[in-house]
Amino acid sequence: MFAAVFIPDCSLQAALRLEPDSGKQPVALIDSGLPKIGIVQLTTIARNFGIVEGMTPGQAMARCGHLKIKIRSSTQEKSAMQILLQTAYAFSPNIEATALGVCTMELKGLGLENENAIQNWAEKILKTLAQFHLESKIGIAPAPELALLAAHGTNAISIVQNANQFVSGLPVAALHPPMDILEILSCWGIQTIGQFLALGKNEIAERLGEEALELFERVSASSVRPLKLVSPPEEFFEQIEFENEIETAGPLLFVLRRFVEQLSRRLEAIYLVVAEVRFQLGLSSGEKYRRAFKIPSPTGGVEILFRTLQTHLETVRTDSPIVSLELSAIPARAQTHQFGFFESTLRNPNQFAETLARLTALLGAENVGTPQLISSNQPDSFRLAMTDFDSATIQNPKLRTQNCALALRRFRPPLPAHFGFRGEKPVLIRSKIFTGGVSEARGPFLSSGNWWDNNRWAREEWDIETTDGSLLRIFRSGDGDFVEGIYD
Amino acid sequence: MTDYVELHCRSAFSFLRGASTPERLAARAEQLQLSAVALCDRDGLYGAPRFFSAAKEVGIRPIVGAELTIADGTILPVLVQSRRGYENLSQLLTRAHLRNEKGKSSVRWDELPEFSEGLVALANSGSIAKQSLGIFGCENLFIEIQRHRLRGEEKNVRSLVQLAEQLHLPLLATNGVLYSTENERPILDVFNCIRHHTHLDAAGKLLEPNGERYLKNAAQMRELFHDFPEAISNTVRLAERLDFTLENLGYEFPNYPIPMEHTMDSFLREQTFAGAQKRYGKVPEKVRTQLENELVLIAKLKVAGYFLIVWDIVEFCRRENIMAQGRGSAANSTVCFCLGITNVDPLKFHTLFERFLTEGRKNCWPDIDIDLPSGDRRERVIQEIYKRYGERGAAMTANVITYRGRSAAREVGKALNLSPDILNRFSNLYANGDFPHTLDLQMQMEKSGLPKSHPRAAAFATMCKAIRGLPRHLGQHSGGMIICQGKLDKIVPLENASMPGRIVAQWDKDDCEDLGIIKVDFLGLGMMSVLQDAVELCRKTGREMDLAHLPPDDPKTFEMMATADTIGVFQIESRAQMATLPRMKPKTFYDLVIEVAIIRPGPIQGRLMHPYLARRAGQEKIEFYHDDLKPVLERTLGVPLFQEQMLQMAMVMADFSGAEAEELRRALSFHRSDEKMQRVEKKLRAAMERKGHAQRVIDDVCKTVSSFALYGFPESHAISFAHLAYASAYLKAHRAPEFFANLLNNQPMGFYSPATLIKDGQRHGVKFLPVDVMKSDWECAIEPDNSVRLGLCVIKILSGDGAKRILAGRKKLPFLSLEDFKRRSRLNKNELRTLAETGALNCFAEHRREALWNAEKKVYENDLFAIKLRPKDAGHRMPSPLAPMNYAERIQADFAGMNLTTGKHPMALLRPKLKNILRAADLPKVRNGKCVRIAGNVICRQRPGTAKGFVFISLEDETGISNAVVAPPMFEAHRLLITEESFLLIEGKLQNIENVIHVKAEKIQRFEHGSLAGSDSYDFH
Repeated sequence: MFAAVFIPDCSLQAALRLEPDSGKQPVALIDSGLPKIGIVQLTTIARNFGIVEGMTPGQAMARCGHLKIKIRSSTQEKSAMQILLQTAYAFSPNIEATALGVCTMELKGLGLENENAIQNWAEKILKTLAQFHLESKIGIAPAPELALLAAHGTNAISIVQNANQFVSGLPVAALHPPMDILEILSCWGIQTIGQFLALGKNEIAERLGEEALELFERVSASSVRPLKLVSPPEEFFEQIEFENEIETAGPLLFVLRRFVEQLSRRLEAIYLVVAEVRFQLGLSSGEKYRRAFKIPSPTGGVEILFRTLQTHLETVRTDSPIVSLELSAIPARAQTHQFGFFESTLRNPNQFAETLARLTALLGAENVGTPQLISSNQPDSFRLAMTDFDSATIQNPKLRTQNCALALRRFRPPLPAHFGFRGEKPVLIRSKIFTGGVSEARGPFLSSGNWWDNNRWAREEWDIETTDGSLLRIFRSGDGDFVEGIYD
Repeated sequence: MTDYVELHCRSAFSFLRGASTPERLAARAEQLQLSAVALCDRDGLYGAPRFFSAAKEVGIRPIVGAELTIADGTILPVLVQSRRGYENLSQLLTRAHLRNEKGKSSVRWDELPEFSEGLVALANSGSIAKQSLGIFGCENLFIEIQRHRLRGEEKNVRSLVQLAEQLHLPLLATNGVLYSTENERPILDVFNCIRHHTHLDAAGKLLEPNGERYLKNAAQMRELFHDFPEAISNTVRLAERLDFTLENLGYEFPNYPIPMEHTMDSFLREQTFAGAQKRYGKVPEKVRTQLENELVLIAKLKVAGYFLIVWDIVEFCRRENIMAQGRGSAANSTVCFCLGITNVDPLKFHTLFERFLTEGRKNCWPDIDIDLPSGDRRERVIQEIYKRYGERGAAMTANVITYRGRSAAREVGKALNLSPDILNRFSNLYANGDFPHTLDLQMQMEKSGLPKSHPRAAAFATMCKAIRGLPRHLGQHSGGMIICQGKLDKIVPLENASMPGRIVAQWDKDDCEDLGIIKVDFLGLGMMSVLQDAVELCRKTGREMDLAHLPPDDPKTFEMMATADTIGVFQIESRAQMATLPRMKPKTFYDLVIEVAIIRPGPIQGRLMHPYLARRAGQEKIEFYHDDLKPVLERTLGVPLFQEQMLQMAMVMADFSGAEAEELRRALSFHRSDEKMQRVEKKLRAAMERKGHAQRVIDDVCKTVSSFALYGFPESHAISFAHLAYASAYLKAHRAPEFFANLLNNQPMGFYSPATLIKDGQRHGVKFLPVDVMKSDWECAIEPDNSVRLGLCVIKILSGDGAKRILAGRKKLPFLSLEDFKRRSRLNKNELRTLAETGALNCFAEHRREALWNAEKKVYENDLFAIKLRPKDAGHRMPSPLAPMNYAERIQADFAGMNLTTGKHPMALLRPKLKNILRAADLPKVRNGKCVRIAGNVICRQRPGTAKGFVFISLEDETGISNAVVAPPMFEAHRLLITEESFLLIEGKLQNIENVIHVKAEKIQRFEHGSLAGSDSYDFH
C-alpha cells in the first residue's frame, strides 16, 4: 500500500502559511513568471466571488474589490515542500517527492496491519502538518497514482478498497494531465477518468501520444511503479516577502517569532537543535541585509533564539524599508557542538553581536561599520556599512587616480567657517584652523544633486591660498560655510 | 550681432540627450539677446525645422549643425556653412543612418573628406583635432573649449589651448547647451536614466554634476572665458561665416515628363479640359470659367507639375485597379475634379477654392490627400513611388512620438525608482488613456498608492508635466510621402523605418510643410477596400453595381440612416453618430455631409450640434449673425459647421482676401499660439470695425470663428467622406451579403467586432454559413443562394501558408476524406484541431467531435495498410466514440476558434433563465423614465474627451444593441468592473428622446454567463 500526502493549492498555502488568517479571506495567487499574468490559485472565499483561475488580477478585482493578491514565491514553496518531506520522513523511511505539494510514502514495513491503524497513522501526519499551518489530505491505495487520486478526492483521509470503481468517477483533471491534453479532452467532452479509460489505450496513444498513455497507465490499478526515494532535505529555512514595506520593528518581530517557532518545531520533529541562525532582510532598494548568529550552546528553545535576534533587530536601522525576511537554521545534534581548534577569540558571538548592536543604537546605524565610497557627483560621498565580522576579509583599497597633484587631508566632519566675499571670490575666512585673508582663490566649482527628494544638495567649492600660505579647500552649501580640507 | 553666439546646442530632438524643445531654446535665446544660435542635435537634423521657424519668429538666426557619431565612438560637432555644406551633411547623415538599423548612425572617418566641403568642425580633444585637421583644413576646424564650473575641467581646457597653439587652430568657446534654463536640468537627469535603463538612485555619475549647461548670455560667457577673449570673439566671427539657413533649402518638386510640344501648364490645361469633357460632356460655362481661374493661379504659382504628378499617381491606381479618391482641401478644386483626382464637384457643392489654393499663401503648395484601400493595395502605391523616384528620392514623413500622460508617468516613475507596484497600479487604473475631466494627476497618483506626502511625489508630478510633449522617438507617418526633384537626401536626412522596405525622413509633415517641401498623403481606408472588394464581388455574383452612379436619393438607404441602422457604415456607425441620426433624419446627400461633420470635437465643444438640430426640427429660429452671412450659412441653418464657412465669414464680414482668410484659419488651428491667435483676431476685429459692423456682431463672429477654428472640419473633406458613407450605406441596404462579407474580409476596421457585424447581418436577413474546408475560400464569399460563406481568414490560428495549401490541394482534387485532407494540407495539430472545433471539418464527419477525434489521429505517410481511397469513395467516414457537442459548447468553440459565431447569440441561450431583464429590441416600447434592467455582452466602451468623463457602454444581446450611460462618479466607483467584465447587467432609468434610447446606469453588476464567451469589446477614447 502507498500513501500520498497532498497539500491542495500548495503554492497558495505556502504563501499564506505565515498568515494563517488569510485563508479565510479572498486571496488569489498570481505567477509573475508567466508570460500572461493570471490567477493560478485562490481561496474558497475568493472563488465564491466568481473568481476563477486564469483571470487577470484586474478582472478578479472587478469581481472582488478587496481581493488580496499574492505573488507566487518559489522560496516559500520550497520551504513548504521541505516541511512536507521532513514530516513524512518522520513517519516512513521510504518517501518520494512526487510533485510540488505531494509526497508519496510506502507503507510496507510500518506494521500498519488494519484500516484503523492506517487511519490513526494518517491522522497523525495531518496533525503534524497542521502545526506548520499546512492543510493536507491523504489518500491510501494499492498504487501510488491511485493514492494520489484518492487524496485529491477526499477532504481528509481516503483509503481505497476497490480501485476500479473508485477511479472511474473521478474528474479527468484529477490526473493533472498536461494543459494541452486537458484542453483536448475538454474539447472531446471527456469529463471523468472512466470516460477517458473507455476511449481505449491504443486510440489514446495514437492520438495523444506518450504523455496521455502514461496517464492511462497511471490510473490502471494493475501497474505499480516503484517510488523514487529521496532523503528529507537538510535545509531549514523560512522566507516571506512582505506585501507592504515594513518600516517598524513590530511587524517584523511578529513574523520573526513565527519563523523561529516553525524552525524550532521542524527540527524538534527530527530530534535536532539550532546551532546557527542566518538572517536576511531584503530592502526595497534591492540591497540585502544579512547576519549570521552562532548559538554558543545549540538549542531548540524558541525564547533564546528569538531574543538573540530581537536584541540585534532593535538596533538595526535600514536605509530603505524592509520587503522580505529570510531565516534559516543550521541544525546540530543537541550537546554535540564543539568549537573549532583555532576558534578562540570570539567564543561568544551572540554577546559580541549584542555589543555591536548596542553601539549601533547609541551612534546610529550610519555611524557604525566601515566606509564605502558610492558613485555620486556629491564630493566625498560614502556610506558606512556593517561588516560581517565572522567572514570579513581585508581588501586592499584601490587608490583613485587624482586629477590634483596635491594630497588633500579632509576634515571629517568639515570645519564650520565663515567666508567674506568680494564679487564671486572669497576674500576672508574665519575658521578654527585659520582666520584671515585669502590671497588667491580658484572656483567656484559647482555641484548639486538629489533634486528629486529630501536629500537635495548643492555646493560651491573653492581652492584657496590663505595669507599664511596654506592651501585649503572650502565650500558653501545650504548648511553654511565650511573648510573641507587642507592640501599638503 | 552681439559679442557671443552659442554654437553648440542640443535640443530634445537629440532624443533623450537634450531637455528643451527647439522652440524653448529659441525663445530663451531671444530673452538673452543672442543674435544667432546653432542647433547641433545628435546624428540628425530632427529639430532643425522647428528651430528655424521658432528662431525666425523671434528674430534669431538659426544656424544648422549636428553632432556626428563616428564609428570609433567619437562625437564630432559640425556646423553648416553653405548650402553645399548642408547637402553634404544631409547626405552624410543619410548614409550613416541607412547602413544601420533604425535609431543608429555611424560615420566613418574615411568617408568624411567626401562630405566635408561647406562644413566646419569643432574638436574637443587632441585626437579628434588631429584626425579632423586633414579633413576640414585649418580654416574649417576650431578647438572647442567649454567650462561648466567643474573641478578638474581646467586641466582639459589648458591642454586644448596648448593644442590650438600647436596646431595653429582658433579657439571657440561654447557651453555645450543641453537645456534652455537651469530649471530643465532635472529633465535631462530623468532622460539619462531612461537612456541607461537605470534610476536616479543608482545613476550616480551618469547624472549631470551641476546645472551649468544652460543657454548663457554674452556677459556670462565672457566672464567664464575672461582669460581667452578670442574664444568668445571667434564665435561671432564664425557665426558670420555660417550664413546658411533652411530658408534656402533648394527644394524642387519633381518635374513631370511632358511631351515636347507642351509646357507643364499647357499639358495640365489639356488634361484638365479633356477630363472636364468626360465629366460633363459639354463643359458648362460656369465650369469653364472656374477652370480658367484655377489654371491661371496654378500657372502663376508654378505648381502645374504637382497636379500632373498627383494625377499620374491616380492614373496609376486606376490602371492597377486600385480605388483612389482625393480628399481634403483638394475637393475644393474643379481642376482636381476634372483630372479625376477627386470625386467631388466643387461647383455643385459651392465649396471654396481658396481653402485649397491661394495666391498670397507663404508656402503655396496645395495639399492633396489620396485615400486608398488599406493594406496591400496602398503598399503597392507607396512602393511604386519609391520605384519611380529612387531610394533616396522619396520618403515617408516622420511622426514624432512624444511623451504622453501614461508613458510620461511610467518613465518618470521608473527613473524616480518608484515601486513597480505603484507604476503597475497606475498603468492598470489609467490604462485606457488620460481622463483629465474626472481625475487630475494628483488624484491618479494617490489612487495608485503615491500619496502627496511621499518624498518623491512632488518630483513625480513636476517631471510628468515637464516631459509631456517632449519627443520620445521617431516613427513614420501613416501615409505622408515627400518626393523631390533629384536627391531628397540632399534636402533632409533619411533613415530606415522599423518596417522593412520603408525609408523615413527626419522631419514630420508639418516641418516639411513649413519648409515648402511638398507631401502627398496616401491614406489607407478600410472602407475603400470594402467598397472596391464589394463591387468586384457584386460583379461576380451578377448583382453588379457602379459606385460612380449610385442613385443619389435612395429612400431605403436614407430610411436606414434615419433609424440609426448603420453598423458597419463608414463614419456614421459610432454610438454618437447613431444617437444623432434619428434626430437628424437625413433625407439628402447634403444632410449626410452635415451628419459626418457634426459629430466632431469642434461642433460638440463649440455647442453647435444642438442649435443645428433644434433649428432643423423647427424648435429654434434660424438666425444669421448678419444678413450678409445668409448666403454663407444658409445651408447649415445659420450655424457655422465647416472650416470653409469660417473662411467665408471672414471674407464677407471683414473683406479678407482668400489668402488672409486662410492665414486666419492656420493661425487658429495649426501650431496654435496665443500670441498669433490674438494678432489675427485683432486684425479681424479691426477689419470688421472698419466695415462698420455693430460691436455685438463683431463679438459674435470673433467668438464663433476662434472657438470653432480649432477643430473645424473642412466641408470638402466631409463631402468626400459622405460619399463613402453613402456608398457603404447603399451597399448595406441593397447588397447586404456582399457588404458584410467584405467587412469581415477587411478586419480589423471600424467600431464593431466581426461577431457583432455577423449578428447585425443576420438581423438584416443575411445568412452566414460556417467555415467549410471543402467550400470556403481564404476570404468570405457569396454562395449561389446569396448566403455568406465564412472564409478561412476568420480562423484565428490558421496560417496563410496552411490556407494556401488547402486551397491549392482542393483545386487540384477535392479532398476525399479527413485523412486525405490531413495528408495534403499538412496543417499542424493546432490548426487541424481548431478547424475541427469550429466545424470547418464537418464535411468529413457527422459532427465536430467526430472530426476532432479523427483529426488527432496520426497520419502515416506511405501507410501500406491504409485504405486507398478513390474519388468515388469521397465521403468516407470514420466514426468516433465521442458524443456530439451541445449548442452551448458549439458557441463556446466558435468564439475560441474564431471570436465569432454564426449560431445564436450567447445571450439567447442565457435568456430562458433571466427574469425582468429587457432585450435591446424591447427598449423602444418602454416609456421614457421607467426603470429597466438590461444585460449583454459588452461590445464597446467609450469615454470621449468631449463627454466630461461620462462613459458609454454598448451591450449586445440576441436582438441588438442597447446603450448605457455611466456618470463619472459611478465609473470611478466601478472602474474595474466596467473595464474588465465582458458581460454586464445594468439597471437604471430609460431615456427615450426622439427615438434615441439610453439607460442611465444607476446600478452595475457582473452578469453571470457561465462558460459562454462573448466577443471582445472595442474600446475608444
